[in-house]
Amino acid sequence: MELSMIVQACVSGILMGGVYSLIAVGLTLIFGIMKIINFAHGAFMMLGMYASYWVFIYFRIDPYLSIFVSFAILFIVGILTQVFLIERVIDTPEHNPLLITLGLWIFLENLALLIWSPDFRTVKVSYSAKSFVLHDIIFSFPRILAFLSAFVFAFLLYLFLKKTDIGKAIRAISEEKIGAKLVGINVKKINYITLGIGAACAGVAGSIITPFFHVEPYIGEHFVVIAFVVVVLGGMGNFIGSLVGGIILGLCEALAAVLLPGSFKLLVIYLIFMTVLLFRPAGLFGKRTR
Amino acid sequence: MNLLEVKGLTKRFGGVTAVNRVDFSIARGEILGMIGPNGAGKTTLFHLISGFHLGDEGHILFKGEEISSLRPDQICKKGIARTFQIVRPFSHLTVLQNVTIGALNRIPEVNLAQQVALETLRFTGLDKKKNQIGIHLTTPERKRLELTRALATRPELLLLDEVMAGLRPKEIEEMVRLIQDIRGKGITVLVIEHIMKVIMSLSDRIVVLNYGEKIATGTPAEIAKDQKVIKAYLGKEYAFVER
Amino acid sequence: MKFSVPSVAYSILGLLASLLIPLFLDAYYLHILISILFWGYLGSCWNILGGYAGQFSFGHAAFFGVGAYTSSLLFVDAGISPWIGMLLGAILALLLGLFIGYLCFRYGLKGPYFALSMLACAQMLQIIAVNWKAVKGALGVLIPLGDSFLNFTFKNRLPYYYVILAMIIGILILTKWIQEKRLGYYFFAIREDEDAAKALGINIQKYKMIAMALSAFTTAMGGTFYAQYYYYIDPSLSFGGPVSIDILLRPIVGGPGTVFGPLVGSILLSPLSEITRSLFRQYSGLHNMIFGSLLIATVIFLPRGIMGLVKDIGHQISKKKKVEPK
Repeated sequence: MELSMIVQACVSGILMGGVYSLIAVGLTLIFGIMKIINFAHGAFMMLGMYASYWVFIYFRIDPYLSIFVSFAILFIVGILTQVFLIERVIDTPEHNPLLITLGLWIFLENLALLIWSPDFRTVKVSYSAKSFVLHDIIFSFPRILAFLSAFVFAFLLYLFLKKTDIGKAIRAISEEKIGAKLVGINVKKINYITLGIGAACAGVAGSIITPFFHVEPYIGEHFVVIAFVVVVLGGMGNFIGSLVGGIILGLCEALAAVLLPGSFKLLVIYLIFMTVLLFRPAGLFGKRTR
Repeated sequence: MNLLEVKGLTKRFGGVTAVNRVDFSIARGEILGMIGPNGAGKTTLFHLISGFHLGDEGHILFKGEEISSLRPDQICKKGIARTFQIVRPFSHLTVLQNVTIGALNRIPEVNLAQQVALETLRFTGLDKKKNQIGIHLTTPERKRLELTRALATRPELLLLDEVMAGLRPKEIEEMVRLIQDIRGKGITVLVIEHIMKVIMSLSDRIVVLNYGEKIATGTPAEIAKDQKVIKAYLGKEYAFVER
Repeated sequence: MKFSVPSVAYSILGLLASLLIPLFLDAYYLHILISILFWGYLGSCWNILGGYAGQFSFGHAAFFGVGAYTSSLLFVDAGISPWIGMLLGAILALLLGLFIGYLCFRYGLKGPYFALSMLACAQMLQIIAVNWKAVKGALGVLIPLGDSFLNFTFKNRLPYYYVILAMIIGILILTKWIQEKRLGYYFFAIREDEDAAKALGINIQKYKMIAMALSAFTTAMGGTFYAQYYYYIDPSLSFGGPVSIDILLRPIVGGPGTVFGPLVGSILLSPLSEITRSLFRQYSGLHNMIFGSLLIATVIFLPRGIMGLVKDIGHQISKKKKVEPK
């Protein structure tokens, strides 16, 4: 095992980890506000990927520019999901919202299957295969772009949460829902926006990986699991936790892929998941308890 | 021997000491009232006695046996039952099913448990509603159900947490009579209540908590004159100096 | 057990119908019937833990797969009769269930966290199965065709039907029995409100483990049936996400926490699945889309499933009857 292989793995892991962070941030936001685990998150990401794909095919627009399209589409999808589905079961037993998002996941995934067929599709931009080499380490150009986009987007989101009124309202609700209501915050409206933003995060994450990831209906499955693990690792509802957790998980995944045979890297991810859930449910940075 | 003895019980949550070295005891067959301003630690004390919280220091002895580290279900089996401040009926089950589950604590056979449940429902006056589903009950009915269910576990000590809250005067009267009937059956009762008139007339003795500490114990008459109690509830201005 | 005269009559009628009707069906319809009973059976197994004890598992394929793999490998590699393999697989699944259950329940994993943990377990087993040569990896296990009762292989579909019929009758009787004993009452209490249940003397962990054990054991037996009916299993068919979802879909739609809910759900959903699969083969994914929508619709409009609705209507009717005679 050469050192360069390990370093290479670390590099790829961190780059991919940025994307995981973005997906997880969306998921953790939704959980922090509404205490719902959004199973449909992977499907949202899948929709974002297809959005970028079709925009690329028909309008020749680069995926990194069509981020805005996926953002808009998924934002609306998120709001619609909240308004028509989740709002109906928000105060019922815990498993109901879970089942609804599960149903939505199944529905969206298979809708994609029906409309767009199971064929793998790829977006080939001019720089899809571009990379540069530094000391034997290959840096894939699109992956760097993806990482930077994820970082920029997460940063913008962070500013949004910190500085804007809506952002502050979101944070207020996640800390103290009843108190937030008492000071006049329109929780319902904020719920809509939160789900919109959360879904949009997934959509954007989908867009930014299209230059180097195949697009197919079931792509969400892989990412939703990883997103869950990141969220649990970083602490459910914890923004920074998800950012850091994403990088950590990206690293773990890449190292596991290099050090372990076959598809055992996924096993490592699940083990991390179970370990954190059992022994440190608040996550590495968690401030809220279950 | 006292039925329940609490010695030096302390519970801290982070920086807050919710219960601070509380001592008191309950004699068999007593009705002990527990009062104190909101946040005084009364419900926390209930959680400690019934096993939902683990105390940081101190002892809880039931019939001479240390129970401070037992689980709630073990404590129920020992003979202590409780109600919750915010009632928790099994909403999708009928009243009869709710109480039967309580009765199953001592009687493993469902049919026999059901008989006991029916008897208990008759005792508390809820038997007409036995087939009503939990969610369809009114608040006073739910409180009564909570009480009946706890009673069905055949406890020796019953902890009642504000069972009168939200009841109208007539309902309160009925509840007071019910509690007296319960004591008449030989069950010892520890009652948390905010309605002064009720606590004063119902209790044999009263324990007063404030900021997690026991500030007074005594008969209702003694408590009514206790300066510390008056200060705690009404403020220093009302504590008058005796000549 | 409590039985009323009309329900005994219906049961006998139902039994006769279920015994005789299949004799007149051709292979295709018989397959649909078997499908209905098969998924109804698995759903009923899930129901004990999910519907009654209220612990929703999103990863029951873990037990299903353990059952399927155990009996298949023992049969194919060691010549042991799948009937014995079924029992051994069920025991293994039971042990697995106790292990997972102990970890999850001891550490207080409830609701969505438990659901996800079960999913994670099933996925982990799938990964192990894919990568472990000894269990044939991704190639899967091929059961040799045959026509011997001892080997649980039949040339005809009919014997399979009677086997699954016996299995589902068994699980229904078990469910009804549980419902009327203290076990069932305690399961409901745990489902409704754990803290209240504790205060009434119920050892939450112990009863959750019992539910898990019963559920795991019986689900694994379904795995063996699947292997012997389809003659082939592989990691994704045995442990895959879709399997777990298919298992829980029927009881949730049909009515969790009721005896017949899972079967009713299966009667509705299974034919849908089989028919869309064969008729609309070019529209792959259609039946799953419908399932997804049905799941959503059920949760929103019929949170207690179809049987819940039936019971509510029955309640209304009996209330009216009480008022009318005056």
